[in-house]
Amino acid sequence: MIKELTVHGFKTLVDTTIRFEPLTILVGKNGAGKTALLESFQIVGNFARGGVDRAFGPPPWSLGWLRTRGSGAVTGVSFRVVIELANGNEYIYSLALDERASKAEVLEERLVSKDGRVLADLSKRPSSGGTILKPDSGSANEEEIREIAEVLGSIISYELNPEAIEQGVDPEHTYVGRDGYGVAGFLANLQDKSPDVFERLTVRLRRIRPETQAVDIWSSGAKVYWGLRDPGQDKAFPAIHLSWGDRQLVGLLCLLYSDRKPGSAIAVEEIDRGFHHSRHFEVLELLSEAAYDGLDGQEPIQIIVTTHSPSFINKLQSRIGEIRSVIRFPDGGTLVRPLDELLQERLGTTELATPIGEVWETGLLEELTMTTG
Amino acid sequence: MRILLVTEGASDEPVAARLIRHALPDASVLAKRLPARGFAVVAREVEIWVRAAHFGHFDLLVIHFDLDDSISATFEDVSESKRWQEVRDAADKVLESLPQGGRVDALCVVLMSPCQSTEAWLAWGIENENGRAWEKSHRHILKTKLFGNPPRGLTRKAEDMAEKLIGQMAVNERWPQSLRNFMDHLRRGM
Repeated sequence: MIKELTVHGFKTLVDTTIRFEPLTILVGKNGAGKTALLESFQIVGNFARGGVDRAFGPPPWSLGWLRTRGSGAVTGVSFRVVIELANGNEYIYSLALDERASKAEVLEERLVSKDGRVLADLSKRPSSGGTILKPDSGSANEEEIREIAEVLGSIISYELNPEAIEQGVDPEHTYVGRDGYGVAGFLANLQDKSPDVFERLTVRLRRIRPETQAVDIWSSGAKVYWGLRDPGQDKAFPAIHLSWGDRQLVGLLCLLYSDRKPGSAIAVEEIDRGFHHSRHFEVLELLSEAAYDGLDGQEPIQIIVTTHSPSFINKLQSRIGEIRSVIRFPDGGTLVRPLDELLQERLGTTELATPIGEVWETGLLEELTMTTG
Repeated sequence: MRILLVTEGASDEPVAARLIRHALPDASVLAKRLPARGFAVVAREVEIWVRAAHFGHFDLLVIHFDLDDSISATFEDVSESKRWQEVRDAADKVLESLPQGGRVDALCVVLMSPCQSTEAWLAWGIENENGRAWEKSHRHILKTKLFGNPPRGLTRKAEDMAEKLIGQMAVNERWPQSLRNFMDHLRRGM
């Protein structure tokens, strides 16, 4: 599990630390830094999977374009991640980068245990280069490093897009991409290789969308497609003709029923997007079960989501410890505070009669320094 | 002086902010809006606004809500309204329950409670008549008259009308009574 992430010099994250729970909900205004947090999360994941070349690309994906602008004190970009393994051991992974000659360069990469034991640093870089998270076979601490690398390398940040979710795909495309592209291939593969999991996904879908009779998969030309069959229909409606919220829901279910290793972490932007408020509670239940117990016998996965919906936040009344308020300073920089701490600080209590989404909507838990006139 | 202002709607905020700055030129105002219109929302949110102003070390909290027709047309003071009393009592109750928390002076809470609504004040600002007469006009009719049906350009129009209102206050003695009460309370910090 990722316990904490500190970011320096990345987009609005001049110096920002966030602590995570098994399920963490980020709330904040547009431009506060929620997306920057998820992107930095994704960059750490990409780096763990393939080093600098995987984490950065040509402009506008180069480090130079992504680092904080307009702040003279910030020169490079750095990430510090606290990881806890299933055995309870904690580790700190640090990565510092800068751009030289239009290319991102690693200045520091280090993995230490909580008690200060250095597992690897740049001096112990593997012969392949890349990242210390891919140690040479037989090198010191190899097994421990690989276990940590598995957690970091599992990180994926999704921005589900119904127009990608609905697409027909090559049947060889069996995973769901960051935007949701590949759902058809994922479902076809799941139905073929793991029919029991496919059935559980369908049952779960039916719990949230009771009119669902079946999830149908079919081929046409070189592609596979998916759709939903409802009562009275002898053929499924193709995904392209389903509502935005239904496509989002199936996309989300595919993420949660993907085969992931224990300790994996995913993030989903705008979790409420496209959902009628009557679905918010069911979506929250789904996420909660996936994060704390594991869905239908699967391993639990760590989940981070963002939302702007007061209705969704209202459903978190009894679990405000999972909410993080992301606040942008008027003069730049992003601060992340646990909502319960903010409530105590700003309102003197965490127990209010007013629904928590309504309290958040007032804006009182964000900046209190701006003045009019 | 730091003031936290909370209003019901898009047209009320610029009017309230300008009236506050007219009465207290050195004030800095942080304006926030209720998540939804309606007295029920005001009543249930008094607690969080008072708490936020208290713990945020504001000097003054101004809470806006319309009296609608909760008061007789011949009222002398807005405190005759049950709505006004309900909000006042709720605010006082919360204030009494809060620890001093390092504050030098206690928070002052002022209620901006136009009769029947802010539109009565704005209409008076535009047309040189007896302010009390506008307080007897139905708020929905006035809203349509000032902002159209459906209403549009609320903030922009309200900003212009607020300037006219302040101009009218300087030359016309026949203020709407609820406006007079508000400005008195604002200056006295009650």
